[in-house]
Amino acid sequence: MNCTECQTKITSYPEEKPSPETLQSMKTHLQSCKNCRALYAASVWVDTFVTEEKRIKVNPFMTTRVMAQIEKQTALSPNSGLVRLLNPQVLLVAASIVLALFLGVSAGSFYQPATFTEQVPEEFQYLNDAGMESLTYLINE
Amino acid sequence: MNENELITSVLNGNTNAFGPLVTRYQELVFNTCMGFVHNADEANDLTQDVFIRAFEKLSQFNHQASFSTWLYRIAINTSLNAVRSKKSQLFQRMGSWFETENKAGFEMPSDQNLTPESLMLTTEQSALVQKELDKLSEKQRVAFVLSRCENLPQKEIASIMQISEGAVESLIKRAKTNLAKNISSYFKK
Ligand SMILES: [Zn+2]
Repeated sequence: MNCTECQTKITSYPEEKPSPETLQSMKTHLQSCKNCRALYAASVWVDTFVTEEKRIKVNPFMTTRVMAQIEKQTALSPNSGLVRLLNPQVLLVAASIVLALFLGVSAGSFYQPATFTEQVPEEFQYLNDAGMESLTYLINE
Repeated sequence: MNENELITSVLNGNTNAFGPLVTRYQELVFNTCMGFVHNADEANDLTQDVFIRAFEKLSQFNHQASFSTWLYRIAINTSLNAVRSKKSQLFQRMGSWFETENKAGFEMPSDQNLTPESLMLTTEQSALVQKELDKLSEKQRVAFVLSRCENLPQKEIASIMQISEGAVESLIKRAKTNLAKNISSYFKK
């Protein structure tokens, strides 16, 4: 095996796996060729780096994290929640309702109904109206 | 509920139906982001951003590609944006650190039976690999991350990147060759 063949095999791995015979001739070549051995060692470093990196796992609370963030953003989005309440048109309608209610309540409070406040003389206080004779009856008499 | 029913339900205003979609695809998104930023905290923050963006743009998902393909695209764009914004400052820091600390070079591994499983990288070795990964062109990097970090077949990578399978194959090969050549240049002669 020459250097070009050996280097092609090194850089094609693992997409193309060498046969046992090819692997043996690669090993023989690597023993005698410093250049190819350096390339091979560098490739193993890269593979090792990737293998080590793959052992690191995602945060186990990722779904909770994402959903909490989405909830926070949804609450602040223009279509719902707090922001919708801060919309100028909504505020205008709300202000009109409050004003109408205030005017209604005020008008109701200031209105004084006409009440009969004249004092009843003491001599009439015990008068039983039901026991009085009808006036019509006396006229017809 | 299946995936399409969940999507329809979210679009009809049932926000909670988005939860199962996050649970189902969180690893896919996290691994993709991790392949670009190489930092768990940052990858978790990006994963959250990706899902929030997907939620906001869900009405634009047109079912032409699969939901996972659509999510991969958002994850790649979000990660690339994050990487671009910090690229210059990180390169300046790492570049000068490597020049001063590793002028002597790394001892070349002598064992030909070396495998990723038998090896543990030192902090400096990991930093070197990361630096060289970050130096790849964006297209090579995307193809490499999807093929190595996500183990996706070239057909799916082609669909995500909207290029031909042949182009994907060539990008992955070039990425691996560049990585091997650049890293091996740090070995003691
Ligand atoms: Zn050689």
